[in-house]
Amino acid sequence: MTAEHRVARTQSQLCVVLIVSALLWTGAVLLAALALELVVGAWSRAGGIGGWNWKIALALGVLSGCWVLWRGRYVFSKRRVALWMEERYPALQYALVTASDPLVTADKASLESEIDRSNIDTFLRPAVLTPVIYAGVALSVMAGAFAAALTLASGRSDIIVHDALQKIGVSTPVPNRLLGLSVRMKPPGYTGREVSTLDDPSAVTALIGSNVTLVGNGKPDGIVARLGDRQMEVNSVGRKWTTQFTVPSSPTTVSLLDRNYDRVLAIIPVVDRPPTVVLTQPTRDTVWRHVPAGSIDFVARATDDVGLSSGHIEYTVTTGSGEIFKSRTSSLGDIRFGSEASGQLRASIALQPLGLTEGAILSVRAVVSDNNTLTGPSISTSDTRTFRVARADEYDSLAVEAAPPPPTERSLLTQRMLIVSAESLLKKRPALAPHDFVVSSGHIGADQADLRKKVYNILYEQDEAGGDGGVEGDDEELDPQLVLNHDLKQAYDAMWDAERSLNIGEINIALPFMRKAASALDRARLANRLYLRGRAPRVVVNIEKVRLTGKDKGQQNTAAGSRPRADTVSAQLNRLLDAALAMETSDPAHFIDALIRLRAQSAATNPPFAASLGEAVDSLRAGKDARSSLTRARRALLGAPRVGDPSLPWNGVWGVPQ
Amino acid sequence: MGRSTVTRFVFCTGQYDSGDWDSAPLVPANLIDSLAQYTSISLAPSGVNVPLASDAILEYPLVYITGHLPVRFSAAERGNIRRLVDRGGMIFVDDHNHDVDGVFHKTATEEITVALSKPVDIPNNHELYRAFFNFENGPPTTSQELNGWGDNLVHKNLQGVMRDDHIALLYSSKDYSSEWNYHPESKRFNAIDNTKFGVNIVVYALTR
Repeated sequence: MTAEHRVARTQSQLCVVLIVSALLWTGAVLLAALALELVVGAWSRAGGIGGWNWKIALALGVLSGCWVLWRGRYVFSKRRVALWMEERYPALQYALVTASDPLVTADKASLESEIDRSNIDTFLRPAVLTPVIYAGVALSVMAGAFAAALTLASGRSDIIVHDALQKIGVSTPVPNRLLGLSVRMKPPGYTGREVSTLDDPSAVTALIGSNVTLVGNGKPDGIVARLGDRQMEVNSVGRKWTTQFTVPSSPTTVSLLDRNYDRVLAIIPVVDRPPTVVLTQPTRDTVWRHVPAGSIDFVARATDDVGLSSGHIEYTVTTGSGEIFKSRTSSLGDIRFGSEASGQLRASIALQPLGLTEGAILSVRAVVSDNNTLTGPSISTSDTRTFRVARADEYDSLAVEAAPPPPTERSLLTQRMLIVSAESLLKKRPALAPHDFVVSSGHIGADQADLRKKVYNILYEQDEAGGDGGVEGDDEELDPQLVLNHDLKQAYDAMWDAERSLNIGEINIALPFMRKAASALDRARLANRLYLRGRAPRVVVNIEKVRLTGKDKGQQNTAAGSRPRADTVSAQLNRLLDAALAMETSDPAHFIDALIRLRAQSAATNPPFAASLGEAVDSLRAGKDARSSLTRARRALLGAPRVGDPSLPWNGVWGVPQ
Repeated sequence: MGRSTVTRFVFCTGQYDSGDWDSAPLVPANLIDSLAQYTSISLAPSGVNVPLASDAILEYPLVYITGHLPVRFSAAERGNIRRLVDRGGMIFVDDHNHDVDGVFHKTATEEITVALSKPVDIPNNHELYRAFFNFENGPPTTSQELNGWGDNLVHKNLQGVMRDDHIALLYSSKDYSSEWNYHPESKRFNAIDNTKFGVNIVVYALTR
């Protein structure tokens, strides 16, 4: 082997060593940074300073690797490698450098023979490997430090130190074995979901029926665990204690006791909700004028939070009249969903075989069930579509032919026309003189006033033919607060607001009120869409006459009996929250536990409140400020503070909540 | 302009989006007439018809539901029935068909079971039968039960969905809707006022 080959070989070895060293140092620094982060994180939970991101640790590792590469950049020069070899073996007296230099043409043979005689390879091998050994040792040390930091962060360090001391005969008090809990949640089998694990949580949120295992550090002797009022068995698994339970159907708490240490976990059950099914086709009910033929296609869409099982389209045919009706129910379009979270049902019903006759009613709905084998299955149905075959005598009445269009319908159309007129006038505004614009707006306002009066007539059931615009003066008899049809009343009020703005040319302000009125009319129209027999007769009982207490004739009055809202749950929770917050100063050691208990207590009745309390508990456990979460919790009970509309000049006296 | 602090009882008929909710339009007036005759309850002189899907239904302490045809509540109707009951309201459902094999009975009980829970028999010594008038033998029979209409049965019990110790939903297969569906002016021709049990239902709903 020539000197030049020797140098090249050593250069290759050094390159490999350099790269391996850089990688090992990268790993070592990465682990060191992560260990430091874990230690700081464990300390910060008590001290209030958070750790940093793992990406920073990776960046530090990569930087250190790059630094090692930079330091070893000379391995890419053969001359520097030769000099490095000479430095390690001075006896060569630059024979290697000289022999490997291509510019030297002197007698190389003697130099080569001198190099061959030397034992340079033996000397060089340890020198080449030393950086890798150093880097490997560093990596091993840092891996140990990382493992120790993990132990510290998991809360097991105290226990391990205690066990170690006990082995060598040093007796120390057993540390708190309720810290660093691990929670393993196994959902019910029918869900097909995987097991999940939580580290040191304050609450366990899981499907009803889930199997939950709590694992803590240390032996189980003396540890007491209760689920609500029921005591649970605590067992030993290796060097840990463990207990398990099934998530009940109502929120509760797990209370853990270890001598003078205690801890509370909120158990928030998640209900497997029933599936949802929507009949998407056909979209509305229908009245057939004649007995129909052909078929109808039905399409329904079903969804579930866990998984659907099966579904079908169910139909009922009802025939008869008066007091005698017969019905038969059947189904078709059976489908198996195979635990999918969503699916579609399709079926076609042939009408001819149903034997529909005049007055017959076909009621169709979709029915789906989920695969909840634990507490179900839950069965859900869609809204029902009703198809009715009209009777022949329904259309031979003069009343039908002479009847005007339903007044609410007419108002709805006209309100839309007014909106279109107002919008088009608004577009023309730049081209119009201000006076013309206000006059045109006033015309729309006058139309709006006409409509409002018509709605007024409908509201108070007045005869439109007999009562024109003058009907509104009788406010004492017709208290607008006492009207029954709240949608029409809302439309009426919105029309008032729109009218006032239109009359002074403020179309921008009027349009939202006009749209609100149209929307309210639409709701009123839909609310009255179903009546198979038309309007029910109104019979007004003369109470005074019946009771023989007066001469007045009975007056129509549709006052709704208002009762105080039974909203005592929120008030009760608010009192409990006050009591819990008071513990912050009176009993700080159990302040967080009180919030956790309140969270479990409120999970079923007020989920937003419970969620906000959960955030507050997490913040408090992390040593952070929980005021914003507690404020949200309070608002979930009492509602947000009322803010008056700043655009209205008067909002104080009339700003009383409804 | 504000609401009166003293409220009057308003008889409310629930409108549902399927079937014929308005099949007994004279029952409200008839019961209001009886309430005026026998009690001193402050009354509105006419009943109201309120959609079950509307939040306005929650304002009424007693909601009367009847019909002959299939009852299929929408999600909103079902939700409001639950809310009404949770808030302490009471619902009185009467099968206008008087037929336990009839479509109203089948579908209505199915919907009630889904919305609340399965109706159970109410014992004939229940407080309901002593709420105003005494009905020692339980619910009074109706002429529809005796004349062979419907299922040709005399139903011994009413049914109900209980909340704690009170009736949240009262279900009748006795067809009081037919029995009471006449103009109150005609009551004077009856030898016995057959609407007295209606007074018990209202008084029970208001006082339990």
